[in-house]
Formats: sequence, structure tokens, C-alpha cells
Amino acid sequence: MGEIVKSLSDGLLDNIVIDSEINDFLIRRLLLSEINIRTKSARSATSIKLRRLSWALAQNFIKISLQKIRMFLDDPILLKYIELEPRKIRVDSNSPLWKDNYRIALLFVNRYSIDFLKYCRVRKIVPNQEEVSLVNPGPCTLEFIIELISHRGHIPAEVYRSYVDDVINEIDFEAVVFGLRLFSDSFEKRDDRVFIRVRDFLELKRSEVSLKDLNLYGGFIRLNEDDSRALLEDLILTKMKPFLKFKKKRRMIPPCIEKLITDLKNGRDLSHFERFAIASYLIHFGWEIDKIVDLFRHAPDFDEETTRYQIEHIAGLRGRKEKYRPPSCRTLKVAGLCTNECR
Amino acid sequence: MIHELIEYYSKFDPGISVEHYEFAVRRGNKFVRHLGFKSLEELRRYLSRPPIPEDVYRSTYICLSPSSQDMDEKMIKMTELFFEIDLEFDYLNDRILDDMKFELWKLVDCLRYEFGVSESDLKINFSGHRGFHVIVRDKDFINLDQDQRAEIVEYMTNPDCRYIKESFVVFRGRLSRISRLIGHSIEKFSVIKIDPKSSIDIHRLKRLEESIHPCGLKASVISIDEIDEFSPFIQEYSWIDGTCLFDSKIDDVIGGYRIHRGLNRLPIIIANYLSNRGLGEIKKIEK
Repeated sequence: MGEIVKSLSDGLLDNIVIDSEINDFLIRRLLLSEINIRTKSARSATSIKLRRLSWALAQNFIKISLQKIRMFLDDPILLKYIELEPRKIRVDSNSPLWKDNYRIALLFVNRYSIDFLKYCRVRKIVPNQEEVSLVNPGPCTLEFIIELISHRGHIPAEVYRSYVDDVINEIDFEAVVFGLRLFSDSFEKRDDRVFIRVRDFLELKRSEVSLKDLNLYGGFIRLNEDDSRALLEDLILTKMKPFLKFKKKRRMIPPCIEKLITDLKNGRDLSHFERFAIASYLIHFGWEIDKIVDLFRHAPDFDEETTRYQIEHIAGLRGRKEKYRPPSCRTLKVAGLCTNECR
Repeated sequence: MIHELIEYYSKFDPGISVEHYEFAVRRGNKFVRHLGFKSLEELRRYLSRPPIPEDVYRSTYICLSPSSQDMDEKMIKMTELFFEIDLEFDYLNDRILDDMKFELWKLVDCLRYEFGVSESDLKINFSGHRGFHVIVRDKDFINLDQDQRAEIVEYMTNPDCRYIKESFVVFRGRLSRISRLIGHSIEKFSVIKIDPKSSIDIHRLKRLEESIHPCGLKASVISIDEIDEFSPFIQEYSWIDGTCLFDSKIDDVIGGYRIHRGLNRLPIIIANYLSNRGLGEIKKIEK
């Protein structure tokens, strides 16, 4: 054990892979040794390497239980400056250890409360912006986000959105790159830009940032700092979407699909894609197959057997037994079917 | 023209591995789908047997069992990324052909320099009448789903592409002035006129390469180096030889020939096209 900690302080351990099986003692020692070294040589090469290690650890924290975090927080040195309240935590901002403990505190706090910055402000722990930058919330805040991503309770969407926005705009660029790499290994930083292959980018689950807003060159997307931040925010919010609480919206057939249905009823010869859009949406809204088949009777080339076959196919009743996803709003827009009437 | 068609189809080569694609043909208003051929020879035999189909299509997807009626039994392995440039016009003359090539160049350059597709993965063919088809076989782009394809189309067709606007700002308006000088707006440079629906749809049929369009022109495969010289009316990309006397109803330049109202001596390929369009009449064929 002593050896690991020693080579760690010598900065030799930047390639270590730590799995979740690691024992609590080691975690605690790793953290403590990092803190010591950080305070000794703030901006040396070693501290950079260690920062990388702390990222590795941060990823690991997702897996370790609250109890284990509590265990290393039980350390008497740290505990002296940290006051635990039920569901809350207070860190003495006058303590010399405050800066180093910030990340640990964050890690702990967000187990209970997501709106940490707000909490800090209320509690006057970080009274102003200068102090936030003094603390250098780079990788620290990012760990907080990692925690947020792994959070599994329902959070009001508005609160979460504004929080993530705050944090992403405060962390340094290195941390943004690290955050992006959590979503795909293929993000690469060269100078002050981040690169990713177009193909890998298309694979990412996003909702707002799309190819058309980005700079493509030779099969790569070149992201500047602003793009990177916007993309990271989008990735985090998209990933968290199932856990966010949105104001309830009425589920109704979108106006563009309504229009296609009207066109169909008026006997216009719709393209394959347009027919697919109608059928997949109606199935999505729970219409019965017979009802949809009846609708297609208006088509000039209606053939009951073919139509029924196609619709059952889209509904996942045939073949692969897989329901087809209706085309997204963006896809409909690009296909020129949007009527610009919804939201 | 039937004899020429039979002869043409008995020797033609679309340059694709025939056994993995589904084929479809149209004769009059009868459309036959789910055709599969084990070899090029079999395809040639089918197409050169009367009645000769007016349109021949192939799928953009590659599958193991093309002749199955059921989409699932076809066992689709991948779908090529497909772009279609399709312009509206009454009949094709040299000026419209240049417009078509302008769009094609934008598309090809965008794929090469922005998406990093290598020349060997880009297959271009004349669509037979209204434009060009471009197929991308790059392994990065053959397995995309509908939404991913839509995103690429959006990138190519959206006039508010932020980066293009920014780069014009970088040039301090100089480029935009130049573009105005030669009579094109920035939008004309940035927006590529592709048909969005053809690229988004993953179960698409396209005209078979090297087949003959009902208008009488051949859907020739061309390489990037050939784009500038290409014209479906010149000998190299024609499928019928010989000249004829043609009574024209129009004044225009087609295939490099200055055509006047009244009698002209023209290659059969041009005369045949114009008479199919109802723009004149073939008077006498000279071999």
C-alpha cells in the first residue's frame, strides 16, 4: 500500500486503472496523498498527472456507495472542517483545506441536493464569483456533474437545466474535454480545439446541437471552446432527460402529420416516406391497425393486403417484431414536411 | 429503337455486384419489384428479353436475399448513403446541364472535403434525365439510420449554416463581393440542391447505373475527373451511333450542337431525345 501511495506522489501512477473493487483504505489514501501533493506543488507537472488520476477516481466514485464516501469523510482531519447536518453539509470556508476539500464536499453534497451552487450562495460558503474561480472548479465541478448524471431521482427540468448551464460555463476547457470524453472516447483535443469523427458524432445522443451548426473538415468535426461547452451541455441534458420532470404536455398528433392525413384524404399520391410517417405516428398514438388501413383507402393506389402488411410491419407485428420509431421532428423538417404550426 | 436496346442490354455492365441488390422494372404502368439476379449474365438476359422494360431500378440497400417478398427475409445488411440532384426543366440543354454540374460539384466537394469521403468511395452516375446520383460507400456512412441521414441532409441544405456565414465574415465581405460579381449569392454556394426524401429513406430504389431512361439517355457512370466534360449527348456517353436529319421546333445548344428551327443534321442520340420530348421529328436516319 505504501508503495502505491509513494509512486503516486512521485507522479508515476498516471496509468493506473482502478476498478470499483478497490478497498476503502486505498481510496482514502489516494485522495489524501493527492491533496497533500496538490497543496505542496500547485501547478507542477505532477499535479497535472494527478489531476488525471483524480478523474479516474471520479469515474470510480459513481460506483462506490454512499457508505463508502462517508467512510473516507470520517477522516478526522477532514471532518474538523466539515459539519454534517441531516441532508446538508457545511464546509468551513476559512479552513486551509477548503480548496482541496471542495471536491470531496461537492461529491458528498450532491448525494442529497442537486442545487449546490444555490445552496452555497444561501449558506454564504461561496459568496461570490471570484471565490468560485479561486477554488478552480475545473475537474471538481465536473465530478459533481458525473454525480448528477448518475443521479436517479426525478429533478425539475428547469432547475437542472439552469444548474448545468451555470456549471458548464464555469469549468475550465480541460474539464469540458474530460466531460466530453465521458460520452465518447473519440473526442480528441488538439491545441485549442476538440475533434471528433463525423460518424462518431452522429452516434451521440443529442437533442439540440446538430451538424449544421458545426465546422466539418476532412471527416472530422472541429469544435471550438464554445461549441464544446454547448455540446457537453446538450449531451448531459439529453442523457438526463428520462429523469427530468417536465410540465405535462397533451399528447396529440403533430400538425404536420395532420396535414399529411388531410392530403391523403384528398387523394394526393403520397411518397413512401410520407406514408411511413403517417403510419408510424398513428401506431405510436395507439390507433388500431384496422382504423389506419381504412384511412389509407383514400390513397389512389390502395391495395388492402399490401397496406395491412406494411402497417403491421411498422407496428412490429411481423418479421423482426420490432416497432419502428416515428421519424423525429427534425427529420420531418429536413424532409420538408414541417408546417411550422407546433410550438 | 428496340433492336438497339436489346443489343445494348445484352452487353451492358452497371458496375455493381448484382447478386446483393434488389431490382425492379417498369413496363407501361406495371411495376415489378423483388427481382434478384445471381449474376450479371442473368440480369443481361432478363433485360434484353422483350418486352424491354422502360425503367430499371435497383435498391440502395445491400441484402442477402434480394428476391424475398418480405422486407425482413431480404436480410438487409446495409444501405448506401444516397444523394439525388434533381432539377426541374422542360428539356435538357447545355445551360441546364451546367447548372446540374454546379450542384454536383458542390455535393462532391462537400463529401470529399467536409465529410472526408475518399474518391474511391464516391460513385457518381447521371440519373438519366434530371440530375445526378451520388452513392457513398465509405464504411463510416453506410449504416446510418433515418435520423442520422436527415442530419447530414440538413447540414447540406440549410441556408443558415453558421460556419459558412462566419467564414464569409472572416473574408471581410470580399468573397461575398466576388460571389456577387459572378452573379451568385452566398446561399447558392452553401445550399446543395439535393432531394431530402431520397437521402433519408433507407428502403429506396434508384435507377440502375448504365440503364436507359425512357427519354432515351443513358444513366452513365462517371468519375470525378469526367464531370466537366460529361454530356449525355456526346459519343462517349451515348448508346446509339449514327446521325439523322431532324426537323426541330426549337433554337438551342445541346451537346455542343447549335440547333436551329427546321432541318438539322444531328447525332441520333440528340434527335431521339428531342423527339421523345415532342420538340421535333426525325426525318431520315443516316448510318
